[in-house]
Amino acid sequence: MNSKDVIKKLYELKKNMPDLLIKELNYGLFSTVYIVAFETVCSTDRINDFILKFFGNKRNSSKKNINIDKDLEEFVPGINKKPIKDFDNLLYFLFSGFTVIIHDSTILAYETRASIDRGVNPPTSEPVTRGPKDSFNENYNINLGLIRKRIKSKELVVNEITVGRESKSKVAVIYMENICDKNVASKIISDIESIDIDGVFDVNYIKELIRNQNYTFFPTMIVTEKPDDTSKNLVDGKIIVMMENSPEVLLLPTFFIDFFQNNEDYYRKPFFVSFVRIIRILSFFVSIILPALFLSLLTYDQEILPTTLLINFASQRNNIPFPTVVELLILLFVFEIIYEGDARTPSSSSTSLSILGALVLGDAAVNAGLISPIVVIVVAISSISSLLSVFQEMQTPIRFWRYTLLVFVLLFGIVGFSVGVTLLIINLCTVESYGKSYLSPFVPFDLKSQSNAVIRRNLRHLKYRKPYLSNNSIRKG
Amino acid sequence: MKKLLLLCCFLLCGCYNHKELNDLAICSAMGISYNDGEYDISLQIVNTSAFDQKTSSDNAVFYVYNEKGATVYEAIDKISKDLSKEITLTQLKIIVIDENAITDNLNSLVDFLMNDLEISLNVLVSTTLKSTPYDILSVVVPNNEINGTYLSNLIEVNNSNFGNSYLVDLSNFFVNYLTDYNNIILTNIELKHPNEGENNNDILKDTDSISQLFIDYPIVFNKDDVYKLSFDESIILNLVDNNINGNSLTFECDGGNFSVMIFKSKFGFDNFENNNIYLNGNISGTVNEYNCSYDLDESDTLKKLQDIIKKEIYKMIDSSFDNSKNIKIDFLGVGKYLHYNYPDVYKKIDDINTEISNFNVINKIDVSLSKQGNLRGDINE
Repeated sequence: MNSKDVIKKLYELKKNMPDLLIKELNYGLFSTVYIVAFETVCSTDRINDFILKFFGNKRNSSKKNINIDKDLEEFVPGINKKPIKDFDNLLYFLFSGFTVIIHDSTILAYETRASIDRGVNPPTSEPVTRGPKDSFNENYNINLGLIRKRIKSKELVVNEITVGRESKSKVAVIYMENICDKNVASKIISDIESIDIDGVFDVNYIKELIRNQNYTFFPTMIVTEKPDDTSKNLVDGKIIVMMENSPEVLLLPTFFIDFFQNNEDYYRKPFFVSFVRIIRILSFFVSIILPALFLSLLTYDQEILPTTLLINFASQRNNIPFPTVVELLILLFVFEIIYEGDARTPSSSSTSLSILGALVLGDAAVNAGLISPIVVIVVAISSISSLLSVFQEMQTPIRFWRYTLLVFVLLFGIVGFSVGVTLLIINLCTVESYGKSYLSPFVPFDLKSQSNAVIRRNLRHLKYRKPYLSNNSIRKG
Repeated sequence: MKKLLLLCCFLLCGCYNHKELNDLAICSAMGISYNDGEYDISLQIVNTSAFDQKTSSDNAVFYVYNEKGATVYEAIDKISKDLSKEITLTQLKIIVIDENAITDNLNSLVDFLMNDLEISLNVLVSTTLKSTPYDILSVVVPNNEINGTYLSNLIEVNNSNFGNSYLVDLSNFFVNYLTDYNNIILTNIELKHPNEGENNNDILKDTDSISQLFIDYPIVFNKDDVYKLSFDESIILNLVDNNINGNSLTFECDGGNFSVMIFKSKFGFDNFENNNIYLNGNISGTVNEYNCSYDLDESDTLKKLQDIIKKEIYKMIDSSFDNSKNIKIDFLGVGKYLHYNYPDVYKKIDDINTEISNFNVINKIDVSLSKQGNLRGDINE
């Protein structure tokens, strides 16, 4: 590679990149050295202290016999030094926060990356009440370090892949070589390698680009920002997809039951955790079926209700101007507005928004005779139940199936409800996550895995790894 | 185009039986009388606005509508004309049928009840001899409850705690009607003061803390014959039917009385030989009140009490069976037992009611009693 051509190209680039610094220095008696760096991604202090200080030294600048590679190795401390082979390689290192030193045909890159990330903060999308309170941030090395310090094993494999024609982002597929299903790992790696796109800027891009073709709204991957959760899943046999500049990682393959478990479950008493898991699963189904079941019982199949309850409902519906389904849809729509409003509002205002939405709107609507109290109760229970799922991704299928069942019931009453619920079960049964049944360990049924599915047994009794997740059935304890 | 047509079919075929609650007149009880070739139908419609906390006032919690018609449907249609809502019979709790409707024109009545898909098979069926169904359904009951709900609860409580009613729901009623080895037995509901004024509602509003309705002993219908069971017969009927669990019975003893809470009883016909039917049973109970002269602390006192109970139950069974022979109505279910267990014998019988006098009942009953602490003997010490 001719250094003159490189310098020429760099000066051309500088026309459109004002943050590109090219410094020309004399080195030795008759030669020139070029120091090139992006000031936006590099630490100027580090460049000044280590690189420029060396070249600024009169003794160095007036040397007769110069061997830049040897001199730098000797006088400039820096563990991460890379030789550059071509111009694309040079640009990649420049954009990654390296400072490039060009001298004749020698081109070297020194890591002088600026710390432009936030620190390790508590997780925001997955609130923690007990256990470690650190979370991933946008710094790839810190994220990897957060896992490394938890799993100090030589079996932890980090397979790095560069994705994005323009963004050239670093994506890592991380797994435990002795535990995970290697077929799944290689499939994920090949899926990521085959991504051909201008740029990926968050791990959620990867999530969408490698999503296996299931006809479902159920999420087949979990996105988490908790390193303790990630580490637990790694030793369970899952595969992690991490990306630079992304504060979240993907967990693969993912199963239905995973959305009702989290690492905090292992910091509490097993009995309580089992109880909470049952509540989470029940609330998932309640959230989907309650509005539809209520509509069916009130407008088609009143005979199923006990007389006193029916009379109670009928008395509440006196003088209500809308049909039950319209009442339900209005309130569900209002809930969606409040939910979205709350999600986009700073936490300082969200409390007042909740009070305004939940108490004032609900109470006012009932007192004004627009909505019957029981519909408010049904929508409230259904909506609050939907929030119990540990991961936000479950919101999409809950909403989709809630409205689908409502349409079925609106048209066909309890028969439509039964058909809708059957379709929901069929859909759940057909979903696969990287070739694994989504409903594992229930379908196909695996007795050993039941000890940590809905019911959580004591950690001392959890001796076997999940056979549906790991090819290696080594006993843990 | 095909998809569009499919979508249209999908959308057009739905909603056909959609009913809003506001548009329904919830019927909680139905009274059926039959006079002069016409059905007299009373429907008890719940006034839902009386339960609305925002608008509740002193309005009655139900209204009773009454119309006559050549058929039950015609009478109900006439009532519908007076209502702004569609009548729904899905929440019926009780049907009160008068004597004439059962003895004179039961076939068409059963035809209506079987054909109406809205009426649940769990609806209780009862009758009244001295009052009319309209009067029964019009009574305002304690705590401003709905009359129909109150009546069904009253029958269930009387049956489970006292054994003086006989629980018959619509499915039992159909079985009794359709089979020749069963007779129709219904709970009898009567007014306590049937002659006090014509409009019961006006009188009872002032005294609504006391129920003006009571459950009389069951009535047995056999074609045109109507027979009201006595207390003993009612108890034996429920014992043989295994309905006595948790009832309290009082027996005479040496100069006093004692009450026994029966917590378990099991009875059943066991064998048939030479026109003798063997009735076996056992009763377990606790002495919960005791006013006799025997010392309860003595070991053989409980045995004495058990013998008294045995003797009394034998007497009740014998007298019930004798009465069954006299009135020629098999209300204890001998025909049913023979039909299921000795079909060859049953086939030779023309009419079990007339031939019941040919059979004898031989009883074998075990009684086991226990005593509670703090009865009289313990206190005296």
